[in-house]
Amino acid sequence: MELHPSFFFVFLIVVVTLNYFFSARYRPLFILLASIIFIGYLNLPSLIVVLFFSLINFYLAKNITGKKFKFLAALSLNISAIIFFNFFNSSTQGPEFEFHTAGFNIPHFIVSIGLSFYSLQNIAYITDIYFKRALPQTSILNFFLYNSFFTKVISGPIMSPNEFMAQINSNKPSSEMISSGINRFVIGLLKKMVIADGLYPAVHAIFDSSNNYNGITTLIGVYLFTIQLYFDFSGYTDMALGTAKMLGYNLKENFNLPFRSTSITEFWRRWHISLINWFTNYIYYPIVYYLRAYKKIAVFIGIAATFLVSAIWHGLNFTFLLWAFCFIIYMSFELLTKAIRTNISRRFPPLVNKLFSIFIVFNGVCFSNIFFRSESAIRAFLLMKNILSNFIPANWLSDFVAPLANGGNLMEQFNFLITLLLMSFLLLFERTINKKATALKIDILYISICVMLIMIFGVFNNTERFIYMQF
Amino acid sequence: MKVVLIKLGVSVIILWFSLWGLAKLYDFSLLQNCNLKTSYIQKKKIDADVLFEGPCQTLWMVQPAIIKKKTELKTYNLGLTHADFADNYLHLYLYLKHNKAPKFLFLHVSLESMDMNYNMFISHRFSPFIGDAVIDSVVKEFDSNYFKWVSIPFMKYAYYNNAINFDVIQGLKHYFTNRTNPYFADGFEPPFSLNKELNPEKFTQIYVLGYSFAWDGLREKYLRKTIQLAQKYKINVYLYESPILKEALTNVRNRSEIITKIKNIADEYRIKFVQFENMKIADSVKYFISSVSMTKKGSEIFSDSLGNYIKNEIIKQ
Repeated sequence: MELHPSFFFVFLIVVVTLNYFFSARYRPLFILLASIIFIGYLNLPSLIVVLFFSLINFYLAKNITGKKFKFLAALSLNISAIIFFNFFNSSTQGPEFEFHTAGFNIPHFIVSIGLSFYSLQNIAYITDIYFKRALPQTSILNFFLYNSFFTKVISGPIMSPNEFMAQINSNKPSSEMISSGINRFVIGLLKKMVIADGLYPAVHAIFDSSNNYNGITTLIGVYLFTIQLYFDFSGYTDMALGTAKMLGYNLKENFNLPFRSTSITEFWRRWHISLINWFTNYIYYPIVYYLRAYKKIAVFIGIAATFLVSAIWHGLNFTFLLWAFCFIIYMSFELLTKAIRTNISRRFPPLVNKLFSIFIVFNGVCFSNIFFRSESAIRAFLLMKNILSNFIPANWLSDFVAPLANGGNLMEQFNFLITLLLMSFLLLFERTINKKATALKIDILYISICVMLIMIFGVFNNTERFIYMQF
Repeated sequence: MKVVLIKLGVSVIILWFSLWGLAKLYDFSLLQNCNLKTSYIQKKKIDADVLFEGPCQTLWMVQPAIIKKKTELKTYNLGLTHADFADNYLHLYLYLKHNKAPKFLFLHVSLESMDMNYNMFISHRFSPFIGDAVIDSVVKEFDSNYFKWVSIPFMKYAYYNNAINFDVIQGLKHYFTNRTNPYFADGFEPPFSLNKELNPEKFTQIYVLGYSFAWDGLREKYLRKTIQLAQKYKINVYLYESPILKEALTNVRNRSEIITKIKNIADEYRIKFVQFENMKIADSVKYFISSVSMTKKGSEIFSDSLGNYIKNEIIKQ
């Protein structure tokens, strides 16, 4: 079932209000109940799946310390769950792999919400206990809540057990937390409804139609996809973090001004932070540590393994492997040329260096995202070919504006222009807006402006699902 | 917590009034937009003798200037792109609220207009009139997802804002520049020119071999309601079918069945169903921009025929 805004808003107001009045003892139980209702409303089989895997992981982790076989079994179970539910999910499956799974697609109704996210949490949980970095949970209800907490169950952020469990029995949400949560939620809604959904027609036209547009149109479509993905996912994250704050929980940040990164390494410290932290802690570091004798080679292998696992986690599609391959090359290049690049950069003013680096990083990310968004590798290569051929169109209105502006009549041009203006404003003043969004006091003007912008320019009648819901 | 609640309350009150005020501004601006037929028919007394209604086939193919020249009757084209009968019904309702009833109403009916796969009811055309019981009942019937939000201030505009904002800006421009005439004063919009992507040879293949149109009950209901509304105002109603590229019809299986049903409805209300599908221009693809819509030249020839029909078959009798 789709998440109806009317249901969500009523649900949110009721849950936040009741949660505030519950005593500390019953509050976690109440939020667990709310989470069960939320997941059950969205998709009943998903509720059964999340409760089943929580139960299994809870009991497997009980006496796992030092028991290698049990640890491997638990690990295999969670990895198999991701493989089973994610890989046979047609939305993350590319045409290149269809022959593997032909006739074996699981019915859509048992595609489980958020499984690939909470399975990573479960892997972290059992690994931490196995290596004695954490103690097993004593309360099964708390563990259920860790996996099914409704604000993060759909697409994260991915939390470690220690980060989350410590907050479960804390005091009731303070007025500062509730205020901050509201501020955060509103900006998330604006990012999703005004920018991400507003950019969708342009991105859809470039990536999903069979038309071959000229170079500049395709290039702008490619740029816009990366920006759409950012506003979609960071909008979701803002809403998830805002809702959690209203309930008294601090979830992990997922984004930190990623488009201001001056290197790919820095970009991955600022983009989907919780997932990258997980991959760093549970894939990259163990590999580098294990192969530490090989020094740089160990780092290369660590990077390659991290991105390959990340690609596979995103879905069984050759395009994700190519996407990962791009980042393996970028990061290896950065590692190998660090000294040379530092020498060259000394010859230029810092501002020039910074702007140039930001430009290169943004283009690199956009380039790899062509694979991320395209339905097949062939389509991705075709888009690249389009970028390189016939770059400047003969008729800018019909050949350039029309495909991006949903047909290109005056009204569509106006809508597209407004979306671009608001997008640019949010990107340019992101730091200031983030301060407002995380402020501990309600700013009436800020909230009023955000809501007014949503009402005037938000997409209400054709909202798209969050992009990361498919993973 | 008390401060948070007070601030939230103040925010809600401010937003409520701001959105209410904004909705009023949108109401006003849209009414100033002469290019919107719903606004134009309210602002300017049209008082046409002959009124044409229908989807793009009417909008692009009926030239009131030619008909007026032939008949000396004041003619207005109330056609709109994609308009279905419910759309026609509400436009007629709004027209009659602000203008004297025309002598003749020509309502476009075709195979496509009885099938839900063609044309549609476009709710946002009627957003400024939400609150009117007749408008509300139709909007609710066709677009309940939209209608359930309209009691919230400004939501009647927010829901389809991407289709409305531009019209609002244009309305303000018309207001500040004292503009009172639309781009197309008699309602006729010249059809778009053929471009390289529209291959005339494809028009003939638009309906696959053995294609059947589906008769829709809701379309029939609003066809009847439009006729009934017109007859209530003692308007002589004519159903008419415009020329269709002959080659395109060869694949259609149930044309005669649909036409018979339309004729039966016309007979029931004692009105005429006039068919122009056999005009000579229907043989030639050069007069068409699609299988059912004509070029400007084609629309001139068709409008001339309409004028002749009104002059010879209606006025003279």
